[in-house]
Amino acid sequence: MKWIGFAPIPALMIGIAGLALSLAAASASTLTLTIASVPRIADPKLDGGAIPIQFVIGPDGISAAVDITIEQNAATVASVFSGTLTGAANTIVTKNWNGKTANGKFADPGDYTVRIVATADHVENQTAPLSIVRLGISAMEALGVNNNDEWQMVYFMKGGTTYAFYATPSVHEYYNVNKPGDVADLDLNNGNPRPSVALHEDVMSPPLSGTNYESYNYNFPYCYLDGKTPRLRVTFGSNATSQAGTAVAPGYPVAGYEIHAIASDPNGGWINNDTNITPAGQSTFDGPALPTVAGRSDRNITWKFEYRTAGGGAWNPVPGQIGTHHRYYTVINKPIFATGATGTQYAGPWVMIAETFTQWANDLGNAPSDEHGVVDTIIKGYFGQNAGVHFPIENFEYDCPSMGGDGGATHYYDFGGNSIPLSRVLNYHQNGIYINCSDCASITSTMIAMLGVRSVQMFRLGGMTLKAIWGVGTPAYTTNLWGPGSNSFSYHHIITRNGGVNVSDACMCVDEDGNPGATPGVPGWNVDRPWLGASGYMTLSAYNTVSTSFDPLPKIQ
Amino acid sequence: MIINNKMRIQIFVLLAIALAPAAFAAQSASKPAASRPRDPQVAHAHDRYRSGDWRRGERKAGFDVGSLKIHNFDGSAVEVIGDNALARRFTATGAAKPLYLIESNVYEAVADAHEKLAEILAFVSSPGTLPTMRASGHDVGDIGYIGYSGAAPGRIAWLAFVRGNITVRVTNLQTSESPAIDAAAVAKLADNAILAAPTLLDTQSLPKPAIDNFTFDKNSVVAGKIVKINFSVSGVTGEPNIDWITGGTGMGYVERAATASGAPGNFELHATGAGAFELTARVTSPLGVSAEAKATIAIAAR
Repeated sequence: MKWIGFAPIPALMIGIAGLALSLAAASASTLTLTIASVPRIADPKLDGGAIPIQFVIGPDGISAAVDITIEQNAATVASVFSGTLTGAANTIVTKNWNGKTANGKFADPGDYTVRIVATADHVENQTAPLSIVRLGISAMEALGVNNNDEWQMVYFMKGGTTYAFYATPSVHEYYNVNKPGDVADLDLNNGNPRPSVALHEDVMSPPLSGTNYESYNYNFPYCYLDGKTPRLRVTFGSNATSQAGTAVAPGYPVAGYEIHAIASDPNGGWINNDTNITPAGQSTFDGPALPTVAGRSDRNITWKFEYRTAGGGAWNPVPGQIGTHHRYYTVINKPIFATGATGTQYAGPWVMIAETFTQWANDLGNAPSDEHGVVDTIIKGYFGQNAGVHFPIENFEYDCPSMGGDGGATHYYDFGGNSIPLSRVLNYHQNGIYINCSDCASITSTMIAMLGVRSVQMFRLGGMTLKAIWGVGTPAYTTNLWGPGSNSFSYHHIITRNGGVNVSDACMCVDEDGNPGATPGVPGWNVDRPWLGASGYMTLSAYNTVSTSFDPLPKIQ
Repeated sequence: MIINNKMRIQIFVLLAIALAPAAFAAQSASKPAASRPRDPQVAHAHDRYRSGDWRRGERKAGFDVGSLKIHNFDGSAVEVIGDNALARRFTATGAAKPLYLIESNVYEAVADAHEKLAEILAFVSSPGTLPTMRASGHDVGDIGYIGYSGAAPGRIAWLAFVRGNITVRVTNLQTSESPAIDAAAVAKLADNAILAAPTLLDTQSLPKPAIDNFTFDKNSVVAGKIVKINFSVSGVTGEPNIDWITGGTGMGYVERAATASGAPGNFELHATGAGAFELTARVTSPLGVSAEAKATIAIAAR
């Protein structure tokens, strides 16, 4: 190395990788070589993780033969560049090493030397130390920042044909490790990096491996209280695959240096105060707050790493990054289920319901930020047949003769067990398309409650001499529900969330055209409609005074 | 968690005896309908349908809905839909969607079966009463009722009947189609299958499966790990259905271990969340009779 002087050139003061060097003015005809920057620590298996080797050849116009090699234990393992460069004293030349050695495989974690040799009127030979490490994430666990603001989510099928409840693993919703018999958690068996796990987007079944649940690579959605901060406890990978195909340590900590991880998504940075990660260690990140509405938001998180000298100093980037895709569902309050019910189906909101709710809200133009908004979305989405949602859920039809059904029989709700086989409902209406009021009330009450609406009950009504109604899945208002002149209920089931003061009903609409006893009708959605009063449910739906009683939130199967 | 995946026990002796047994208790799975306080709406149905006049037939050992065969129809796997409750769907050969759904509930007492039928009738919204099967010309069960479809004259949308201590409901899932065999004929086949089952003496209880052994192989497990379940059943002819129902604050699921030969391996609990974990095994015989047992384990945080 030939140092001509130490007069700094401000434009070339490079500090991005801890090897900032002053570039010196060269004499008019003598070759100079200055390393501008080489990362001290790098992981070429990261996305964009090629290692930039930056240097300056001087003086202007000189022609130099340049060789850049990577050495380990004094032996050359890779040739990065070999060719002729023309000197330009104010220009940094960058040559990237892809991290692979002469055999085409990624270099194993360990200590290396970057060597640059330039030859013109004389030989310049400079080196820089480089530690190859393997950085990556093997697991992520969603945590509540406070109690009761994060829940597991539930699937109800196992593959396409078997009913089975599965809750997303609270120990880690994102998991990306080697299967038994594989070499390492961070890499594939061929040494290439293990890719991030794609978000699991099926809403009915978790991923399977053969006939069993996939238990090594998955990426499940999370569920949080709306407006809360999502928190991820990240576990870093513990080993890598060597060129020899064996498991090796990931090469860090590097003596004298600290490494930390930083995360961000398009909504902002994720807060993390750890200064020194370790293999198999954990670090916790708090992300930008989730929306203050119930629904879904996707987060594409970019994970980067930085290093610095131990104990302080400026952080320098490890080239490259990792991208992971995450899905967050938000609910209004803690999910609520039938009192005393046990089973995995009660671990948290069902993915399919949270997703269906999101689609309904979008289609209806709703931004449900409170309990009324959730009820409005569920009732109107379930009923469909409006501007936003064209069809009822599962293409249900009210069970009446004009639709090919019979006399309003229950097809899903089990009164004796006070349970609703929601899994059969959502699996392409396995008990058929016909439903009655108890089916609707039990389905909607469970959906609404699991999205956080409190105090939901089924509200059972006695006999009703009906005015004009519009049944779910039927084409129009009728005053002849069961046939000419027959328009009454032996009972009716709706829902309430305030002890019957207001009621909701996804089974039918009342008529709000001012003449509720005659057709045609103007849709009167029953979303938290007062029970009593001139525009109340009882007045608009029945000629008689209707008796009432309550049924608790049903269990779910 | 309920795993209605028809996990089969074929070689019970393969299941090992517990080395470190956790809590184990066998209990009845049956929850007789007649033992609950009668709901006024259901009581009204009893009155409207004069349930006191319903014939009380002999108690039967169960209904093997899995053995039911319908000519030119393909039967699905049997689903356990509750304690002592099974369901099965039948699809016309070559058709895309099932046409009939058969649901059965088996009870200790005839009165419980009658109560179930009354509940079905009570929760029909139309104000009239449904015709009996016999009035409609169908000699099925001790008592039964029909819901006719509006799709075509005489087409049955659903029916429900009781034979002894067993309640059966048959639902036509495609009432817009003209079926090659109607729901009453399907019900007759089901009724015949029930009649073919052994009759129970007054002193005999339903033939419940016996859960001889149900323990975890350890008293505790760390979240994220797997623990073997020692499990064996007897007293069942044929292949029982096993459901695993989770409880407590811990989380996990049960699967059979994969084996190199492809044969079913041991049952295993995959612990996925820390806390006290209670697992209920519900075993349902092909006759639709369930038994339950519980075992507990502590799932520790990592």
